[in-house]
Amino acid sequence: MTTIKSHSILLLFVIILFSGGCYTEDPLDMPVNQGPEVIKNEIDEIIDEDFIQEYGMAIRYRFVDRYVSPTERVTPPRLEVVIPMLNFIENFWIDPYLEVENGEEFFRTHVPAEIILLGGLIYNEDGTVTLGTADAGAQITFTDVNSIDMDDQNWVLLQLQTVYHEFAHTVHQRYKLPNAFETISPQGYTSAGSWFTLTSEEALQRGFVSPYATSSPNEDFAEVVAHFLFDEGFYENYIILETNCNTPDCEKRNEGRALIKQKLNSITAHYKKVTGVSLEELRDVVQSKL
Amino acid sequence: MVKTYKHIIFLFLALVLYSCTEEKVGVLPSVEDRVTEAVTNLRSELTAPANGWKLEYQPTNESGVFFMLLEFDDDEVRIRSDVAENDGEFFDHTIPWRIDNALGLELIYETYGVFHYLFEQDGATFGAEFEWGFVEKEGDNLVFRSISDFSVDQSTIVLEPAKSGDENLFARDIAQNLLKFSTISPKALESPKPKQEIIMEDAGISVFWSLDPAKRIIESILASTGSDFDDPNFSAVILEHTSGYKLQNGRMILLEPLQFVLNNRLYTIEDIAFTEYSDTGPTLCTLAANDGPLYKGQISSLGNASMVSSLFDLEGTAFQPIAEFPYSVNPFFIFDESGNSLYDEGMIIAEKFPNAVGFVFYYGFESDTQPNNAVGFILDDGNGNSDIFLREFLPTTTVGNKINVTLTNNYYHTGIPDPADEANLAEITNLLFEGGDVYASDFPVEGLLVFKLFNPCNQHEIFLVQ
Repeated sequence: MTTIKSHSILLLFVIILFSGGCYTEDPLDMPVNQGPEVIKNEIDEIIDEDFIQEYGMAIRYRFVDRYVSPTERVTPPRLEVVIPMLNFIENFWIDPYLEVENGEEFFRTHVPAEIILLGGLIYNEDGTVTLGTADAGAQITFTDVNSIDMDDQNWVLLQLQTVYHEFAHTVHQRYKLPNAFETISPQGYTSAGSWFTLTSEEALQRGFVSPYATSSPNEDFAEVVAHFLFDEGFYENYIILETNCNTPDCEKRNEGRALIKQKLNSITAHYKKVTGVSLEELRDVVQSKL
Repeated sequence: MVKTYKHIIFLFLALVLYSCTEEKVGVLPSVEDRVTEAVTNLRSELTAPANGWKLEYQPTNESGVFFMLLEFDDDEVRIRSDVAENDGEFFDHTIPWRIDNALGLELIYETYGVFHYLFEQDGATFGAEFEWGFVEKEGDNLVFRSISDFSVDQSTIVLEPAKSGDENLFARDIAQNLLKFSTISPKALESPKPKQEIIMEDAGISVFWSLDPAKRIIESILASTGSDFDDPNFSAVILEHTSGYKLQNGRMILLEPLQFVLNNRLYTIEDIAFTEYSDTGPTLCTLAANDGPLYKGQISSLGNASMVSSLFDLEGTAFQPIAEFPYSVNPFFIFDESGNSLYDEGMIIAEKFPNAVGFVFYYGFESDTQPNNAVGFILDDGNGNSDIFLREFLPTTTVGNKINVTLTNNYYHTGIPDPADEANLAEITNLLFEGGDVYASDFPVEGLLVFKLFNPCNQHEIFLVQ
């Protein structure tokens, strides 16, 4: 009986072994929605030469649905806006880093792997709209590229805010936040998902450059960097105290400005220390281009 | 017994080893080869027809149809369409395309074109698509199904081989001319829904409808014996009819024909063959010359027809005098022609009356101490007290949904007026009621009855809550 049982098990084992053993190797890494790396036109050549080979940074302008989450509704850019957008990226984002001391090395070693260009805004399932996104320093997404207009100050500032903000995240992701940064205005941060209930005035009174900055210390850090670089009136708006301050609101704004000044000092020192880049020098270059 | 098992195992091993020989395995090509072959085949199909493909694209069951011709080459597709928006950008454009393999073969239009434009309508909720999963070849046609459609009913499109001369089916001039009717329409905090009156001269009747040129949807509102709502012989029937439309061969064709009975006669409108467009139609502003859109044509069995702009709104006819209380609103909800609030910083109300906390419209208000017909503001005097400041207008009624507001120079103030107050209120009310006529429409808000007053002369809009 034991012998019969052991033979039955052996038979079963052989059947299982061989029933799965005949297939050729089917690779699991099927090319699904792969990024279109092929060079098909003049735009692809420019991207290959000026961005992929130069910085190891791919620029995606052909639509691929994996670039956004399934709940986000987006469109690709018009073909004719791609080169002007590449020029914009070079002129206002890359070149300023190349022009400041230690900037080129910093840029080349921290550059995200992918830049995504979207024609319009990102429409979310819940009815909200996303202006720009980044993914752990690996990807930066420019939205509303179809509206490119260098004379439209709002458009220019939106794009600069997006890219400086998202690129700033690479610094705290790699080198952490400046020492005790979270303790400068600990009471001012908002609870999860509620930053948009604040006005700009309320954010300033709490010591933040924007309502979004109140959402976390990381976003606070990125917002200060972005506003410092692109906002011509940064010092007037966020640093220099109002004189003849006789109202409670004015006093609160000035208290907020004092906190922002602390944050700026902390961030500029941190940048200099860990990247060798002077944010003040970078701001001067950016402002000279605007 | 043991011997029997040994035989079975031996036999099975022999069988399995035989089945694993190279020639058996080699029958099925590798996955990569199969994918490449499938992609190549579909690319060949798409690039094959000499005249490209014809497509009647209906993004949703409710929408109208967009006519397109598509010619694929190896890298790009030339798309000709009858979508007139963006200054005719989509009449003829060429964009890159590719076939992906994911859940199946997918046709992707890689950069922005007409499909993406339609996709973006209504904050990308309209229901149009630009990613298509290949379904099957049906005769000579290629069938695709939307893969970017959030709705349950995914769109299916059928590409038919185009014939030479199919470009003559385009009715792009109609698409362009219909856009000219979009200029006069309330638009603050809502998508504009331009309305028209279709005057059927031979039949002696009018139909009022709203036409959405972006989605190609017509909502018919009213059929009547004309547009003189004061005429004692005026008769009308309310229509609740919605249809998509398509433009082809010089005609606007309703996908669902409009039928109604008026004065015991059955009328049917299936299409309008447009013949002549001019800018000599009514503008609805009493101060302006008649330089609005006028589109003439014929309707089968009903004869000559003219299409002109209208501001008729059925729900707006409910904006009537109220004896018990005035209509009112937060002053933020008064907008200029660009949709900017007149209470925003730097705008006229914020400058003239920064302490305004309410805007009021007294329409037949019965009071012994306050005017019956007047318009103005509730002001905060800084001490927590409210002060009402009004300018009178002549008694009036709502005709259809039109209200004529003729302002007087009589002012009413519950507090102590600032010397500049009268001039400021005069300036604001002269602006809001320039030309005298305003048109009421409803603005759906759950739990509230909200109207809008639209001024056709300067396109300012006032929200009013009943």
